[in-house]
Amino acid sequence: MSERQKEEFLELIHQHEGIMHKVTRLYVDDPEERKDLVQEILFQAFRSFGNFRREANFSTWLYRIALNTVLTWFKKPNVGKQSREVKESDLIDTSEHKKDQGEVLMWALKQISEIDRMIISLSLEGYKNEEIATITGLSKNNIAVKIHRIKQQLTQIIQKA
Amino acid sequence: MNFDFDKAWGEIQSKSGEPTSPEQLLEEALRKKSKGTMEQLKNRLKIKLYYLLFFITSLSIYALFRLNQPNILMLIGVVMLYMLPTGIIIYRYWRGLKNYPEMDGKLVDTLKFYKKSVKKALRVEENFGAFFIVASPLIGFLIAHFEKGGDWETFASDPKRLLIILIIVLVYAPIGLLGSRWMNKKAYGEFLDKLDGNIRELEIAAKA
Repeated sequence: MSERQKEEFLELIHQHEGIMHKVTRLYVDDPEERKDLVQEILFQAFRSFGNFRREANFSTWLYRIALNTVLTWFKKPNVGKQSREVKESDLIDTSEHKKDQGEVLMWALKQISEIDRMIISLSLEGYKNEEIATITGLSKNNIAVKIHRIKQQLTQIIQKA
Repeated sequence: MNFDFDKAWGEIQSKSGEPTSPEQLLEEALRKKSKGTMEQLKNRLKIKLYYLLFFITSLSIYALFRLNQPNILMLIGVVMLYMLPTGIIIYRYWRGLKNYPEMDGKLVDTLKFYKKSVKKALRVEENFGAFFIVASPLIGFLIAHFEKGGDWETFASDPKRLLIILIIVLVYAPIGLLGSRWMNKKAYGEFLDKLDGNIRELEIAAKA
């Protein structure tokens, strides 16, 4: 990678760095571990930037890298196990926190599977079903059905809480 | 209850809250990757030093039991004359290797120095190995001859023995040399390739 490419990479990262932080927040609670994960995503993106085709959407590409990195991260032994388990202290009273809908949604998202979390977060981020299918490797029709089902599941989780 | 997913998603903060720039995070990530590589390399060089220490110790102990045999002591002396400086040189290179890259912004220089030091240390060790492989048949024959009470004159006066030694050296030396290089490549080659690759990436990334 040349110096110019490196600058281009960092410029694009600056514009889309929220993607990395949002993705890591979805999967990891511990701030230090989240920072480690962001670093790992950055590193993987940096290594792969030479293969990035400029006609593709950078945010879509970065999202794919981020999600793949997260899934690989959880395959490591004793990494992120605590974050994946819903602890009793994590349960929140949605009536008290109903103004902070973001926190409610974040909590509910952690109750569903990693793949479903990935799909719904991409949908809420504004990605079209075709793009989500590209990122996740699932079929476009499957994505539409899954999004609907996931939203129902999340609604039930929030209502029960 | 209709939960407004889009509104809730919009409320979720996307920033980490820490004022760390992507450049700093990337630098830290690259530093961590190189730290693992440096640690592994330093440990592997340490193993080589242990082997050398083992040989030096073994020869020293053997010499203690042969104090009344000056010919054998002389041979051991020749080997030690080469082995000790080799061990000292490799040790000095090893000592100069840091356990982790310093956070002083000189990542590229540190890695270049690391790569240079490691390759020099390995070259020194290979040169020693080459000498030892070529010399060991001759040394082995000489020690065996001296153990039986022989001397230099009787050794050199037997052309048949000298011819055998010459043939063994000519046959054994190339095989030994190739074999030791193959073993080094097997043990260290993949790792050194990875190191070179990591250093290339880090050199590019660390340029500011």
